[in-house]
Amino acid sequence: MTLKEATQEIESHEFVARVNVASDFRTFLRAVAEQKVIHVLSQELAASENRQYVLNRVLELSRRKVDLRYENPWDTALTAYVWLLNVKDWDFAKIAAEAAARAPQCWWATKMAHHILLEGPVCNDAGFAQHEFMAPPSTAIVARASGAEEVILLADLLPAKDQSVVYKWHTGLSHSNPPISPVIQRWLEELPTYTAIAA
Amino acid sequence: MGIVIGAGGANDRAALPLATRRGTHIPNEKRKESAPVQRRASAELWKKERPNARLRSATAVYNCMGLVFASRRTWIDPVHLKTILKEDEYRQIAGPQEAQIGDIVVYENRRDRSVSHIGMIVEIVPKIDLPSWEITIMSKWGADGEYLHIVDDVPSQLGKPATYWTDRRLP
Repeated sequence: MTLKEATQEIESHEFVARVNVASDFRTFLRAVAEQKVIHVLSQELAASENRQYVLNRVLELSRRKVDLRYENPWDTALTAYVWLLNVKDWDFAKIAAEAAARAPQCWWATKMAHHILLEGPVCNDAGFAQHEFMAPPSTAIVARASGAEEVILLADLLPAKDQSVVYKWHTGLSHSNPPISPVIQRWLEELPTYTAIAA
Repeated sequence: MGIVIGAGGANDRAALPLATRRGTHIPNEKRKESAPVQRRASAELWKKERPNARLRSATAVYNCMGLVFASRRTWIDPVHLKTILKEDEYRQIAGPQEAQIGDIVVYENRRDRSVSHIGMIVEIVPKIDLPSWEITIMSKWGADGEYLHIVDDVPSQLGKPATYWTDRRLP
């Protein structure tokens, strides 16, 4: 599947139907992350020109006029693209989020933009890049994306007190208060970069 | 368009005035209807993948929580379910064996057991040959349709039936 075919599928009515059974943002993101086409696009975004392509797609879709009676038909695609850029390229993600926030009559895209512009990086725990588990699932799971430097830390499986610490560490605010478990501390020391799930 | 801070909250004029029995505002947001072409695509998809589910209504303006707690008027995030169940004086029942029509089934995500969906029981038929019940649920599948379906016949994204709740009072 080519990059263009992947974006066409993500922008299709069937894709929208499949992931919009969700009633909340987290379930929606999970549904998106589980789709095979999203895995394909995620791998394509390893290349900077492809990330530019997707960003351009966001900019174009967010400027399109829509029927004022109905929800923006590209809401799901915008959300998926902004989220993938958020995982792969934080600077592009912020640009994309600002564009998506201005797109008319969106639902999920607005929420995604809210997370990125007001709260920080957003990650989903569907683990589309899971290859190696380094901890008992009852406390936390660390996944290393194959061939990539980034790590996805499934923070929403951590105790609440660890979630906020992990998130603050990522944003550079603090990583020592409140104290966290030795297991989590070891991962934080080993990881070059990661994206934390907002609590 | 922009980002509304505190969307759905008590100070959001676009939110419906919705509250629990104790008067706590239930945050809610109204979602625009999907275009007819999208609603048709959704109906076609689930007709193919969940052929035994019966479509009652094709609309995006409410979700599963909005169906059960807001008369199909708005979207309520499942994160507020715990508050609603508590303040509307629901009690958990043991399972389908105690359930009656009008009771609620809560679905949980298979991995982390977060609430992913809810539905209302509309029919219970005993299955004498295997001692169990065939429970029919009325539930809203996100922005896709409102369906009548057997309790575990839902898209995988909606999780599995986990707990049963009732607001019934004994005389």
